[in-house]
Amino acid sequence: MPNLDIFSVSKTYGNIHALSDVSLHVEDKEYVCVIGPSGCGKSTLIRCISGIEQPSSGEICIDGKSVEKTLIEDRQIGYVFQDIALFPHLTVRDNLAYGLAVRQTPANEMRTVTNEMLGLINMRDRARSYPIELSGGAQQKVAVGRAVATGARLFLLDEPLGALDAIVRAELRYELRKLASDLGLTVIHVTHDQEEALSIADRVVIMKNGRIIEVGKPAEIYHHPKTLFTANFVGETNLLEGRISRTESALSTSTIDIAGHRVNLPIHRKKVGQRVVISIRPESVMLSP
Amino acid sequence: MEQVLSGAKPHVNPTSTLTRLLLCLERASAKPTTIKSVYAVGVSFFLLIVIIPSIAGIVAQMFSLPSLVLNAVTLNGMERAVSWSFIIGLTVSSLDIVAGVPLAWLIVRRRGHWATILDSLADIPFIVPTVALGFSILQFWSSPDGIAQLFGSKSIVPPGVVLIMLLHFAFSYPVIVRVMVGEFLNYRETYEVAARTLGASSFTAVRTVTLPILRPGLLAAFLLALARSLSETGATIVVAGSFENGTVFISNARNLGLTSAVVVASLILILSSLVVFSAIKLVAPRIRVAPLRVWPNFERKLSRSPTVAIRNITSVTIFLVFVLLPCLFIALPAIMAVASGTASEAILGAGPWKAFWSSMLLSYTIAVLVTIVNIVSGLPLAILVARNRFGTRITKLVDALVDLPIIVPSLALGVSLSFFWGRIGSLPEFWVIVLAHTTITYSYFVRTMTASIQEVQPELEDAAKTLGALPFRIFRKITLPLTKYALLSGAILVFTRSVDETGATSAVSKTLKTAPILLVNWIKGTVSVTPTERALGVGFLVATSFLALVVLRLIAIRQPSRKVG
Amino acid sequence: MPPVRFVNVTKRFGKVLAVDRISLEVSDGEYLCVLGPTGSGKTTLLKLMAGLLLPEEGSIYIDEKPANHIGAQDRNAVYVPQRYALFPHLTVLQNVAFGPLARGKPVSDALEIASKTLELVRLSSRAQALPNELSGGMQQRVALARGLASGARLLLLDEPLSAIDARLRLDLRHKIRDIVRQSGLTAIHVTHDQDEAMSVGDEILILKNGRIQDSGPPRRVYRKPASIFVTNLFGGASFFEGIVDNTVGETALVSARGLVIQAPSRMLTLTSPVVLAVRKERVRLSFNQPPEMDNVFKGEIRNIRFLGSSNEYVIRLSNGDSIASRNFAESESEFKVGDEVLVSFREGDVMVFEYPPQGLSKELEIA
Repeated sequence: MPNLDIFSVSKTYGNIHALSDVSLHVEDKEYVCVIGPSGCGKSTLIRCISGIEQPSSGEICIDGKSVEKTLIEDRQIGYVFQDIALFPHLTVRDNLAYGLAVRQTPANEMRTVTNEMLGLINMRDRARSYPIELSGGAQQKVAVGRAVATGARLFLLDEPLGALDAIVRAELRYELRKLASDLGLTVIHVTHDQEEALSIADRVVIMKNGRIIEVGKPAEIYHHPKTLFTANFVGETNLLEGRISRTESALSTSTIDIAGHRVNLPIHRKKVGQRVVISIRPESVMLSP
Repeated sequence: MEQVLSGAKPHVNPTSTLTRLLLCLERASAKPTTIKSVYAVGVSFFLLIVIIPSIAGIVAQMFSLPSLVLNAVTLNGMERAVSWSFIIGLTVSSLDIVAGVPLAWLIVRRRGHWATILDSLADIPFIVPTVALGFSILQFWSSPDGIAQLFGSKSIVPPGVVLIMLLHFAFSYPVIVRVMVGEFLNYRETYEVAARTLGASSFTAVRTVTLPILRPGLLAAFLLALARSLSETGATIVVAGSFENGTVFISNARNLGLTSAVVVASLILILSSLVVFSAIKLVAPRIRVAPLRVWPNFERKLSRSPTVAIRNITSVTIFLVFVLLPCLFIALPAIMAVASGTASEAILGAGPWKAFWSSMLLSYTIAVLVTIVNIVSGLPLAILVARNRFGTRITKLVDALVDLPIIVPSLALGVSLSFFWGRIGSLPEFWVIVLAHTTITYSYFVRTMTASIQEVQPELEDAAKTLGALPFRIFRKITLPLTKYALLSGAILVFTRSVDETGATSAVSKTLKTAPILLVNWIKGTVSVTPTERALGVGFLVATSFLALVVLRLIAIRQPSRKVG
Repeated sequence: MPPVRFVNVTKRFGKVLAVDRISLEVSDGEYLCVLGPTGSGKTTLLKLMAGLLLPEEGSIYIDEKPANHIGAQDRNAVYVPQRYALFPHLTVLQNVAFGPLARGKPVSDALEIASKTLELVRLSSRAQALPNELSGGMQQRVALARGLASGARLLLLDEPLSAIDARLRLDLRHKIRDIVRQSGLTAIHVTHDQDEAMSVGDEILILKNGRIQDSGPPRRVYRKPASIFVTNLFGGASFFEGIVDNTVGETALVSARGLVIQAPSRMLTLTSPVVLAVRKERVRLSFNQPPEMDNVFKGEIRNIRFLGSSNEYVIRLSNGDSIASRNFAESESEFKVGDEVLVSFREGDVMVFEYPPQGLSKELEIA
């Protein structure tokens, strides 16, 4: 039952702070999406979890045990790469079997598991094909199957759908989610596509400049973002600047001057004269002649 | 905005003759006929100067066979000699792969100062002329002044087959390292990382994923090393003693005036080379990767730090003891020669030095000519092959043909070429040597340029075209700047290979002596010189070649390795 | 005068038919979006327009002049490849000035044009930077500026936003559109993202396997798609296989594996096999009987997908078929997985297609 704990992890490359004091807990069987603009550190984070990179400071624990001294190959984590990384010199079947082969799994067990995987990703008829003969979506499915075959329960997905057409992405993400549920996997899925994250995540982690800005359920993040950055980054929104003109502490409301109009909103603990920004989602705006 | 964006035809104020010339060339390149003629010149040159003389020469040789007379003893000796060439070549190339790949790995994966130093050091044997290398290795392993001193004996490895192997190991080693460093640099490490996330230890990942994927590169490196070993003449003669491999046999036969033997032997060498290379090229890629067998525990141990450290130390030690030190050993006697005052005599041109300096002048003049000719004629062909302008089938054919001068051992090729150019009759010896050198070195430049042009994304040229750039402008402003490094290193490769050349030269030259040929005579004692003079002569040759290495390294530093696009 | 016209243009690569008898006409000043999956021939189409490829059959007209043999340099159409193809060894300014210089302008003029164009895309401050020092979005703008500065009248953009983060795409696509409109150019924008095509295109062209599947203004293609493939690619829908049971005036009753769906009759013959499609946003969910809906069915909510601005519900109907419903602007959904609900949609929102000869799943294949 892999759960994951990240304690104050930082990673610097010379002067660049790729990660600054990142802490996160991921429950067993949870599907967490990490989103953020390019360079926010999301890829660096999962590379540290997988052991591909070593954090400069902080600790990472899987099931309560620190993995600092554990090599990549011993962490038992399934990893799916953005550029897919199927072994070009092996067939689909051999790719799927690789993780088992390196463990010296007996031949008939390997065959059973590989067949199971082929069925799971619905590619029984392409077992003898080479990666170059497959479409992007098919290749990615094989990559996922290859990781699942090792029996890993903790999965790290680095922009797994990034190389695919928009429409294929929109379909494949649900297949991915279903697979994770069916197999009871704990997943950390990195993406720059916030719609992808909202539609399949149990929880969403928002990162910027190496830090975690916010964590929450998709609906919370979307409807009640805690920061301006989140409000603007997740979905589209209208941002209006204004100033507090009056506060009513008894009613916990404030009046805000925006674009020459006055608006009453149930927000409190503000001072008169304070500058604020209001965010209104487009779908909440009505037009009338 | 309108006038900013309108693409009206401008009127140009040419400010200098150069600008006018460039514009003229540019406008000329707009016509498809101009471009076609440039390519035609390149292709014709390739065919007329490189391919046809080689093939025609070989064919002419074959036709002369019936009239040749050989006795059984010579025939026997010939068979043995040619077989030994292949035994030596295949053994040495395999050993080079085993020894060179770990070093290349070390250079690429272990970043930092040591790696860069190793990188530069690994180039040294490449740049040292093989004659000098031969002499150096002779001194190092065979003479009382060499490593034998440490053991109190007269010589550790006497001249003969083992010494030849040590020589060939040393000069093919840098080829392997260069090629494999390039392969490792271009390799996507993600594959290896993926293998490790699936549970493979680093040794297993490299063995089962990286090396199979890099198989084409390994094969290319192996074949290049093999070609070099089969070709090498001058240095092999120096270290062979009384032993005979293919090239030594032919050389000896030539000196004895046994023309029949020369012709037959070189023919056999050529044909067997072609067969062996084609066989390897066809069979090796098809070898099925056997179903994965892994011994996890054992391979884990191999991945641990102590084992890795042992491996690294062993690689570096082998490199130092068997490659670098023997190469550099030449420096000692040369320095002593300078100290003893022989140097001033040498510079003044007294005695044997007169011939030496005229040989050096000859060698370098030829090298410069050959380099220029190669660049001018090789560029069009490189573009044609890189951009697949011929269509796939013909490009593959041209590709294979370009390799011909490398596969065929240069001495044997020289024999064929003298057959061909001999028929032409009145071509002066100087030009025959130039043409022979051009043929031998042609592939180096074209290969280097082709690979580099292929790395320039075609999209860059597409975008430039639609922005209104004519072909000459695209070449001048886009392709050339982005392949500058390859152009220079290709040119230097050609230059040093030409200066180095002993095989074909010894076959075609009758009276003229290039520097390495002269030095072979000095070393073998055909021309009597003192040991100091010998060392100094070799030293001068090495020094000039080192200059080339320094230039190359300086250029490399100014162009940090960048990925285009 | 249309800047580009194709008449029956075909392009082959060996045995592969990349572009198959395509005829099209692009109006002056139009922003045309070409939408299609990978491998549908979009890039080939652009390259044919640019003159980087020559057609095997058919005629291409640029500004009504036969252009089959006019080289890429002379077509006044600039091609912006997918990864921008900025010249890595030249600065931003030199990149942008490349076009004017290539067309023979003196250096000072070319640099002035380049500076002005950089101002237009708001990158004057990075004029001396090298391409690899810029972010993806900035590189995109430099590529655009380079095209604009060359004086070309036709801009050919090959998936200009596919290398850019999803969030940035939303802003950038409109910025590109605005710059193009301001400059008075005609643009062909190739993409595989239907949201993008829908939101910026004046006209849309849908490609599959080198053939045009549909073309027209986005609204029209959305409301009246020409085929099942287009419906699926452009907007998505729920599909039902059925047979026409009965026609009553303007209405056809289609029997779909146990359900009876009211659809517009549109010259359908009895017992002909059909495929019906309903857009997700046209399907309503409710607990109680909705007023004035022609088609109402019982179903169970199997899945709810939160997409931010909307919720998407997947409902299983009594006959086992699935139908999707998309509702916007709900802060809290009143529905839960497992709820029994009523699914409803109007007759007019039902799209009717002939049953495809290769079968429904083949027709719906996008990848």
